[in-house]
Amino acid sequence: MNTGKYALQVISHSRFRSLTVFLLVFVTTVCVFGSALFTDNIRNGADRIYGNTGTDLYIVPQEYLESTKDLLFKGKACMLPFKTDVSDSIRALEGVGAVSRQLYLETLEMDCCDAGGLQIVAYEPETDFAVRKWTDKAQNLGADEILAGSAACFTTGETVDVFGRTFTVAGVLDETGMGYDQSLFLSYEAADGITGDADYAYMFGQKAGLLSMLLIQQADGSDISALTESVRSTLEGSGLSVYAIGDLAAGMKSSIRMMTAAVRIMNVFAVVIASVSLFAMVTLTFHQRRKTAGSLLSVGCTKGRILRLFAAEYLWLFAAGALAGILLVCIILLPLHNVIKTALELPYKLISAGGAAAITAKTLLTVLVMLAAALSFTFVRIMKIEPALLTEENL
Amino acid sequence: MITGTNLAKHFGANGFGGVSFSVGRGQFAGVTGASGCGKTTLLNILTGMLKPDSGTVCVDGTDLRTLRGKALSALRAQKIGYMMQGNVLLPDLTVMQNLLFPAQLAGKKVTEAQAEALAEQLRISSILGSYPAGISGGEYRRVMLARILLLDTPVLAADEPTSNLDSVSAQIVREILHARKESGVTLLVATHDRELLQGADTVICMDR
Repeated sequence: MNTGKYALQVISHSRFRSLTVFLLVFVTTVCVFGSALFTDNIRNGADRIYGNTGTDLYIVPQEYLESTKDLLFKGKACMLPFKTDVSDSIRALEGVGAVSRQLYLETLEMDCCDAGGLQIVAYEPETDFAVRKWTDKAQNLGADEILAGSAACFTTGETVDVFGRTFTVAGVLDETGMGYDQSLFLSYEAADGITGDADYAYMFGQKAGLLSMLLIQQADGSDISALTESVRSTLEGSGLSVYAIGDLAAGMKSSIRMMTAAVRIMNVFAVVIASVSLFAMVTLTFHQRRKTAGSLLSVGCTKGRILRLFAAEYLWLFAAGALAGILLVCIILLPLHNVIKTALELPYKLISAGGAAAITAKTLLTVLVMLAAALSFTFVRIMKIEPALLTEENL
Repeated sequence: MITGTNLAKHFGANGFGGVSFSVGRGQFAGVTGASGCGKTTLLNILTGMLKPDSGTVCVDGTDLRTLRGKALSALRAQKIGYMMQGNVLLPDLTVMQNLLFPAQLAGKKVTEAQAEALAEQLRISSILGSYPAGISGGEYRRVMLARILLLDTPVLAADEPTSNLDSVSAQIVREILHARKESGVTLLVATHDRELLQGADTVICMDR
């Protein structure tokens, strides 16, 4: 019987003790891995917004500021009509690299999705620098084509009926972590066809060229503060305001901070409880383990071999508990991440495989260190006792 | 040759002092005395399982005080098989596994057939698949003796090997121990069993 087989035999025979250790490892893994993955996904979503929109400044109607935030960060469908198109005057400002228009429309109820409308984002393929960040198809989108957000439940090639017109899904965007994930994207040409249609005059006034947001990319080497100031001056009296993404996301940042802090506190609490329980369990089983150690020493087993026998038992339980914990977290967080994103109303994007691997390694190391500490504590206590006394009943 | 010189060990008010003796190879030394006089403690010291307060123990010329770690483990595995007084079978292994595992740890090849033959002799064949928690006190003692006998060491120390046994089983144990002595094994046995002590070459009587 080798060390591994002995450990398995002990685990299968001492079921209650084994189950307790397994559950403690499992709970600790779920807490450490789950909370780390969850908070990193939120941070990853937030980082995407700050780093990947390619947009330095947003111009939105002042009165629709909250709706804009809901649309950008929470994916809540809305319509944002501009009263005046200022794109030409903004484009002419010094320090402006590129300007792109976007129009937000909310569809009528659609069969494919949950109750309520779906967000439609109309953009200009020729001036766009934001949508193309998530799909190569953005630059060449035809008037009868549509792009789908990663969580908008459409696949490439599928046809979609929007405002009485049929579009073919030309592509699906990479996950953005923003409200864009729940949106459909079409060209301005197609949007003008809808807003100018007499059938929807009650919604859009049968007007083409409507505008909801202007996205500004600063020119290389320009000063963002000076640019913001000159844009602000240009917009004076227009009812429009200019914001950097950080300004728009200020409230969301605070929510993220609170959410991650709460998760961290719960995580620490759970790990402390699991650690204390593990040490309590180790102390409770000390009596049995010291007798085992005494028995083994009496037949010439070395201390090192005894340590390996005990460690093998813990390692089997560690592997099983940690694997089960990681699997459970993955089963919950991976397939349901779109549901979580919608429920959280915060940016949320799955981290990369490398990031997940790093969290897994960190989790395994944390739990392993905890188990090693518990094992070392037991072993050192046992080995301080003279072998003959280890087997006595009333030590 | 096992030599004890001026051995002393005290646990509070209990203990002993000034114990000296010598047991030659293949001899049978019995240790007897009233309960609590230190018989078990003396065997623990002689097998390197307990350090004396003072005095020395030499096994084949090696002072046990000079042995540490692996060397001490090797002594127990290769030279002195020790049947302890307490219940020290591994609770998660079956009786058969308890017989084979110590020998395996000691690096000795013991087959299941050998274990079964010894179990037959000690009348514990029927419990080889049982766990220690499910066997009687007498069976437990015989399993403990069997696991030490399978180690096949030149010195055999046994603490009360016939206690808790019925007369037939006790007689079998006596016969097995005497047979081992006849085959050249040195015996160190702490016991109250007068019949067992009858075959001893040396009897160490301990007082409180």
